[in-house]
Amino acid sequence: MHTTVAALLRRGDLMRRSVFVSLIAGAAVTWAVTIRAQPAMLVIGILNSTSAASVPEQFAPFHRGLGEAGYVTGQNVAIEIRSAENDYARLPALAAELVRHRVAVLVAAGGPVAALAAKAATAEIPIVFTVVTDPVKSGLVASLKKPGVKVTGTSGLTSELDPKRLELLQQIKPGARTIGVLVNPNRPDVARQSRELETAADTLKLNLDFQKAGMPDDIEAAFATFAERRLDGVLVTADPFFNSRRGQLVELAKRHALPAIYQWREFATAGGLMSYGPSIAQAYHQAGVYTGRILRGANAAELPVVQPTRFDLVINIKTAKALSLAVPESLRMMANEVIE
Amino acid sequence: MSQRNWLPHLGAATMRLSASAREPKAPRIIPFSAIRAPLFTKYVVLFVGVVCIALLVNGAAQIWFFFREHKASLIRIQYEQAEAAAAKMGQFITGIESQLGWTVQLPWSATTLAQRRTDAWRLLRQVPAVTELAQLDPSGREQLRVSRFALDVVGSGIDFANDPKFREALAQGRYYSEIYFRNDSEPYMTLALAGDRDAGVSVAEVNLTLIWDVVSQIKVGQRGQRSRRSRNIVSDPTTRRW
Repeated sequence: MHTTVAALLRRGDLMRRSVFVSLIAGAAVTWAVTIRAQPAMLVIGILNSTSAASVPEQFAPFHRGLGEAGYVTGQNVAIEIRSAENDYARLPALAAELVRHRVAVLVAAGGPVAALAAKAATAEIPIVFTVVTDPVKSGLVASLKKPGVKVTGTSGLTSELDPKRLELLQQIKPGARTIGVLVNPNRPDVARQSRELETAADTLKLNLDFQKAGMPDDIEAAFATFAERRLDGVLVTADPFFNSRRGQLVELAKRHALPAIYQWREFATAGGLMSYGPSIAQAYHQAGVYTGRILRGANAAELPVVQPTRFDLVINIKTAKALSLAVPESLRMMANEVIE
Repeated sequence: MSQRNWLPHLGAATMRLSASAREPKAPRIIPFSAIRAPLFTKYVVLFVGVVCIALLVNGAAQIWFFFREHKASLIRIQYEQAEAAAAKMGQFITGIESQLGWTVQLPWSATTLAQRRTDAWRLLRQVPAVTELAQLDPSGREQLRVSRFALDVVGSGIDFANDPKFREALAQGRYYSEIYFRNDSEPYMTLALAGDRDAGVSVAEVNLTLIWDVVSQIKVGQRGQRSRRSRNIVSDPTTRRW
């Protein structure tokens, strides 16, 4: 072989040499293609702080985003889901389980708790989180622009918008004096959340009645208290646990005839009075897109944390009528979506 | 070797010796008989040299021209991209400006703050890129601030009379701020518009993320740099939103 090459080069036979070069190049390409075509089913691990069954519509946009990057579940990618069923203490063990499973990407769904558990479990596997209030403050990333560690995802203005929700609730029920606030005590930033709400309530001249609920039964009890104290309305604060108990919350507000405001549009479409915030569907779609890009070889540490650009106010007029609330024209004007 | 045999050799050597003794400077002058063969070599060397130099010069010139042409076309492409991006940016801003226009149509005294607040919310609904709208009365005091994120502020009375966004808007009808970043990654711009009579000034904070993708696709080195109406916009391809 060597002598042939040497002879070719020595003779300087251009034709022969080009043939030789193209043969080498061809071999290299074939080799590269064989490497790429090696059938290896990639596995995406999803760590969910709530239960995956309670929020199925969130995962549809996730799969759509994944599909845009060329990944179809069951065809070229498999998904392993571990759900903590709202018991956040289980998250570290579930994260470790997914790491042992050698997943290619770890998707942390459902707020900062899942994302922090995932980050604590691995520094090797890239993590995509979805809808974390403030990823910098919670210590997930160094900066939104350049995470620095292999952690990225979508940040949402979630609990930051709770004061705004209080204001909107006051507008739909002018003259409201005391508002019940439902908070999840297991949320890492619950103290800050409550403090910010107190400040806002002072400005709006409202009194707040905080009730804690970390488990489904607590929700029942909290609403009973709200009804008993004849409060003017309820703010269900931003939290993945409350999102997973959407049906129960909307039902309880209806039963006790309490005007309530929630975080996501899906609450209003399920019969809740009103919602204000970014789109959770868009956030999960983006998480799917990022997961796909990371599977294709993108470096998670270089992918900026994506922030929401749209905030929608959705009002359910049917529920308002049932509560005999007259929706002010100004509020109707503000709404991006009115459910008749 | 016998004595007889080597004698003639000795004779030849003596002859050679005597010849060199007669012409002691022979190596420098180069004897005529020695010149013939090197002359041919010299022609060859000269010829090859001339051809090589010509080829090299030609090659170098070609490379240089190609480089210049390539650079010029790259610059042209980038310039065109920049022009297109600037046009799109311009369109985007003009669109927002025209929407902002009707918030400063009525004189200040003809409207109530409640009315203005409703109008402000309508604007926010119409224009997703505007995240905050402040209304300054004709004396430059902030009377209303409506935001998507924070609580609305009515009648704060903060004095903006000496602020460029108020002064420039009054003098030239409109004001554009430098691009600034919120949360270290969201590009924003302040846009202020003054009404005809004593309508006051509307100040909008515009999130440029929606148009940013257009700008950030153009790359110059690690970071792009583009300008619009003499204001520099540094495009960072890593900034993205959902």
